Amino acid sequence: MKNITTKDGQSADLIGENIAHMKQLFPDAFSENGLDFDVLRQLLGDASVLDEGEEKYGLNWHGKKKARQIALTPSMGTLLPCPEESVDWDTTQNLFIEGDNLEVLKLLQKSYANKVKLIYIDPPYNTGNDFVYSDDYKDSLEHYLISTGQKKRDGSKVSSSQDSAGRRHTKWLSMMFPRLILAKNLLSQDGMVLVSIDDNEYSQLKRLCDDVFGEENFRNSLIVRRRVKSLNVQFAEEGLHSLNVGFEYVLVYSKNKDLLLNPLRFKKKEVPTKGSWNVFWSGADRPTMRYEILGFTPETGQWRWSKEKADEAIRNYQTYLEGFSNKMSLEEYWKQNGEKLKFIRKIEDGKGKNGGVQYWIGPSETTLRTSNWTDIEVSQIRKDFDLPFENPKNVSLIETLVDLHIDKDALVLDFFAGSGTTADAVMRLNARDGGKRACISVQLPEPTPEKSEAKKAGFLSISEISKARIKLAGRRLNSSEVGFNGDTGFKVFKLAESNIRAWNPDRTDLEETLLSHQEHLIEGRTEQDLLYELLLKRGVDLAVPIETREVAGKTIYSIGAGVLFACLDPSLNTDEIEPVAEGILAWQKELDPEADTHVFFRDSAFHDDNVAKTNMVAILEQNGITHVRSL
Amino acid sequence: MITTFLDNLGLPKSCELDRTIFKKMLSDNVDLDVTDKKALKDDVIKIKWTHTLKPSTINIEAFADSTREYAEVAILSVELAKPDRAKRIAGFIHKAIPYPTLLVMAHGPQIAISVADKRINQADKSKWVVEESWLTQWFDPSMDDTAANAFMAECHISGLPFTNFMAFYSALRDRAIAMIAATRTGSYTLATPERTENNIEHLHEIDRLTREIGELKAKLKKTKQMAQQITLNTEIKTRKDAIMKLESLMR
Ligand SMILES: C[S@@+](CC[C@H](N)C(=O)[O-])C[C@H]1O[C@@H](n2cnc3c(N)ncnc32)[C@H](O)[C@@H]1O
Repeated sequence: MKNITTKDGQSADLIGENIAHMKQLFPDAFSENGLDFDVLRQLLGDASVLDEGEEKYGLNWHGKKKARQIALTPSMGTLLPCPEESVDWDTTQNLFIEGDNLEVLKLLQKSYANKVKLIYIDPPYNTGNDFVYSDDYKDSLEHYLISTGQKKRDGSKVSSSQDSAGRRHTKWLSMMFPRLILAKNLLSQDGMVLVSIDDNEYSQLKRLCDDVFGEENFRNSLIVRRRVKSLNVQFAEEGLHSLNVGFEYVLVYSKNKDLLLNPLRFKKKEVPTKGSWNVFWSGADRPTMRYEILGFTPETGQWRWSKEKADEAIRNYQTYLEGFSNKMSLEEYWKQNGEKLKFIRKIEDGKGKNGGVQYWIGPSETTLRTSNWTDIEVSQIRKDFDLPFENPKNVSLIETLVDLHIDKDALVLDFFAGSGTTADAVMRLNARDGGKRACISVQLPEPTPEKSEAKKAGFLSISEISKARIKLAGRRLNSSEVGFNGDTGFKVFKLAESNIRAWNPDRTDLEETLLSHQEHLIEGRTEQDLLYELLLKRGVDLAVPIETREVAGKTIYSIGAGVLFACLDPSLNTDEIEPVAEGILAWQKELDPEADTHVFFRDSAFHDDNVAKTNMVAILEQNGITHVRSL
Repeated sequence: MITTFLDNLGLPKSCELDRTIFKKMLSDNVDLDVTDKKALKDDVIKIKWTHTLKPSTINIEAFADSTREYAEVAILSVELAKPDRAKRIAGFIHKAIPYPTLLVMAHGPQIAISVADKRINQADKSKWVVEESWLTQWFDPSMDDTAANAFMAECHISGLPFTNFMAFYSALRDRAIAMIAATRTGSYTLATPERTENNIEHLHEIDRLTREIGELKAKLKKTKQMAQQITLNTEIKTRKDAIMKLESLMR
């Protein structure tokens, strides 16, 4: 526990500390006017706030509370593994998840809380009919299942697409808000969020992000060049309603104030051949940084570097003058010495505060990036493979954005994946700088429009295009020209209804909830389906390696090198109990895990035979495995 | 036993020196930190300069180039009351002696051999720098231990190159490193220079992985969450597998 400190005879600021703690836990509940008790109540599970009066201050729209409630409502879904559609299933760290991102973000909350370092999203810009939105928070999975044909419509409503102008922003904000809230939970302390947007929703998004991530965590609005396809030339004679839009934005937020961005550089168009001399003095008043240089000591301001560094630079220039200046230029001398040397000189009869002391800046090919990224085009089709997706982001843009995070092993997330540009960019960046970044992509299996190029090419949904794209991009990187041998695989998962019927959302005790139901498992689901739901709800990383072994005709799974074993076969007969238990024990001994071992079975496998169950538990327990459960 | 090992080397009588190095001489002449001082005071019983190998005592020439100066080789024995800080003690003795040095550390009937690479300090040519020092595992030279026997047989001077002290000492150093590799592979394999370079690289990597495993285990002890246990144990397993792979590469 933290000690309370008392300063200058004051009593401890207990209230201040409480507020600080509260703020850390529930940043959403604070605005510039302090704590909003209604929001806090809602965050603590009191949904009755919904029926009470109007929202008060900050960015508000009709339905904001409801949208927050949507984020707080647990998901009734699961993610089904699809090894057949995956690449390098057993080894890859990348995930491709097909489904509505709201549900998916909810399902990822346990396994990926505080793990994602960089989120990039390119949400619908709200240009017309570019997004589907269901405002029924109790039914968002239901809605998804119906719209993807996994479930039949029972005649009830689907939110109408009739939109008044005023409803436009409202619907978009209500769509974005819960997703951003959920996304923020996944960010690690050194995480950052990047969101593409254009003029349509820029101002809404800026305020929404201020609200969700905190204004103090806003870093930049980057502008990226948009190529104008058809200039309004034919109307130009009469004057224009507005100018052609030549750029769009990427908003940059961090999870915490102290995150430092990677200082990106880019190549100058014209590389200077000459260095330049600049004043070695600056105005900030630091007496300790005023020392003598070549007979001059400033009376105000300060020198730019420490004395040792400056002395060395003075010596360097002397050496150059004495030994080399008759043979070569300073630039040549600098190049010969690995472009590292610093130089300081004092011009004859230099006057003023700086005494004519100057330092040399070498000719540099690169320069620090600012927030003006108009050297990069926002959208570009990959020329080396032709996939029918309109306006994919330029992969180099995303590569550069991902590079803004210093960590070369960062976990990256894009939950509006579209054609999979982010997954592609992450692999390319790894190939370039040897990083081990991994990427989670989430994309709706949005049907491709009738008669579209995509449909003609055989892609029934956008997620099909994304998977094909990531596969092609990976192969291209593995090809002999590039020769990249890092991770170019991805594990495919699909959003579906939970394996457990009538899921009682008591996440704290999954096993108990499950035990209290009989025949609660949906038919037709595989052992792997069950296994991954178990992992998800237990907060285990979906990319964790899983090993299998056959014992007495049953499959045993080992996860985490012996921390978790599962046998999810639908049937374990009396005579199979012992061999299965022995098999698990032998394997556990072999792996010799450094932590306790947990074992899971399917409850119905014991056919209501309590003796068999007790027997299983007893054998395992005798050998030191005490965490045995069934589901 | 120290003498068992030294006799086994087969050095000519002319190399014998048998001079005691007083602890005070070390603490006065070498930069020792608090722990070094404590180790010297509490753990070390006696240090002896047992042999000196110079062109005048053995038929080997001095060696010198711009980075190394191997004018002679020193052999010292160090009797210890406690073996725990042997590596540290070997470290500062190597620092104190300007010549390439073979240390025979002893604790009871057990001994361990230490060697070190030294080079000239480029900024001040009168000083030298210890690049890296090595300490073998403890073994009893009079017991029937296959790896130790093979190692000792390899150390007999009849099997060492007499070209110059650089070649001579490097061969000894390679043998000590091969002995360390034997703790990993289970058997002693004669050291060729390429093999030694590989072994050094692998041993460094194994050290790093072992340290990481220690840190992960400490973290694992503290967590009760199954998910976290799975992640950490998987990371430990990956490192254990990597160590096994490196060990197989040293065979
Ligand atoms: C602007 S596009 C992203 C394009 C992407 N950056 C690229 O380079 O290909 C937005 C994508 O988000 C998808 N999307 C819209 N709503 C979604 C939802 N609720 N869940 C998952 N994906 C969704 C759309 O299908 C669309 O493909």
